[in-house]
Amino acid sequence: MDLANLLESCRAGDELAWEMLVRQTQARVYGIAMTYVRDRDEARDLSQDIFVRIYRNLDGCKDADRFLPWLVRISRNACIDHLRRRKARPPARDIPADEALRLVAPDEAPDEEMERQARRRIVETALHSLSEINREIILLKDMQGLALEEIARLLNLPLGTVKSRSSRARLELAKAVQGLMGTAGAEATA
Amino acid sequence: MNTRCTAWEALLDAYLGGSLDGRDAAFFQSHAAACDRCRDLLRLVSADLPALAGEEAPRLADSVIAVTSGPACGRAEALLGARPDGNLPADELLLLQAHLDHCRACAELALTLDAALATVRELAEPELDATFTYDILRATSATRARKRGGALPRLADRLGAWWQGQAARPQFAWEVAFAATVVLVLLFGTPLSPARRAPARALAAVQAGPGWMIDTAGELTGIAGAGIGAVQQDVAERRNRTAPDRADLLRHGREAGAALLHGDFDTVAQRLQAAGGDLTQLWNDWRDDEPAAAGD
Repeated sequence: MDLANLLESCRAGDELAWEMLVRQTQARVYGIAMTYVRDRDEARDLSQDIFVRIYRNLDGCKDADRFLPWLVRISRNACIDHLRRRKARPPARDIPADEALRLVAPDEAPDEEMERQARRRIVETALHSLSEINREIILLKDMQGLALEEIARLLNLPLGTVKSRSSRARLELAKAVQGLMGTAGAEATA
Repeated sequence: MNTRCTAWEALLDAYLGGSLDGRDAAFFQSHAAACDRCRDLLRLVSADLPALAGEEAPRLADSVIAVTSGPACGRAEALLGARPDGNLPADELLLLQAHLDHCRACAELALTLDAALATVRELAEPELDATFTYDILRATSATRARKRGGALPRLADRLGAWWQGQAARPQFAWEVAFAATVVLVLLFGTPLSPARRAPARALAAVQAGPGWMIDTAGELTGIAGAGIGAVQQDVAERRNRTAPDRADLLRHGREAGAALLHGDFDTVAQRLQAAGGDLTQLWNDWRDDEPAAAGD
């Protein structure tokens, strides 16, 4: 079933179609939520809120080709709302960022999995050391694969600015990763 | 250095390139054998070139770049950042690769960037446990039920979401405080405020003691009770007074509906006109005015 038909069935109230759409997009939505909140449980709850929003607003996405940008926009808005709410009422306990990266382990050798987790942890930390706008551009461009024009529209920035920022943000990320790897290496040696 | 030396030097490149013909080659070799200066020059360029290419060339290039354009790492970094988009022209890619072949720092940065972006793409869709979908479907099923319930639950949902959004904004507390202050000033603080005497009475109550407070509370309760009773009685009277008008309005509405079903539009128009008259009459009776001309 192609995406256009799937969306049409979802709009018509077909529960199975909705389940399929959720299964197809849940990892992406969760990934976006994790990028913003960096906590597994919080991202999980936030993903549910995002899907409720998506379900309520399915009529707003008429064109299947525009579904991905639409999904990312809704997810991003929900994450920003959530962060605002959290800023107004901070949680009782601040959960360490490391916990956020305990994802479900696939069938991999423990060493490989540990290495992968370590790599992810470093990239996540580097990502969060970037400025908010640079982090969002990497999220939208390199993580979600949106077109530069779409990102410019979403962030309300000129296309040229998004282009140059995208390039700078990547370099900033690479340098932050290098810095963290240097720190990790020094710690390991010590 | 004479004209023969000048002619000999002009042939030097061709000799080194192996493209010298027989006559020129004979002249080139005979002059090199006879002239010490040109022989030394030939030895120098023939013997030192391979060594220069193997060991000295990179250092020489670095030195030349340092005293001319300066290091090209900045430009290479700009291209590195744009390279993942896949839009770089072939020439620029070639230049970048040539730089990366010789600049260790930029090569390492390029490797780190590629690895980081690969990990970023992995982070886009993390693996999830089996209950994740179930939790989402459970969360959306409540919404689905409300969506099917009609416009009112949907409106309530939207209002709830709007209110949550408002309450989540950091400035919400300030706005509520401002609005409450305005309301308090309007209630108590202006010469036309309905409760302008309340603060003075409250002060008097505090100063006078509990007996006065009990009397005042009794008085206020009595006034409020009497007021509510009067309002109830007034509403009942008005309802009785307008009962025939409401019956007429209902009857004309039904007749208009029935005529509409039968396609009798003349009757529909007449009945709607009559219903309009009923409404005017109802309003006048409710207000207890002199009845205006009402058509039936």
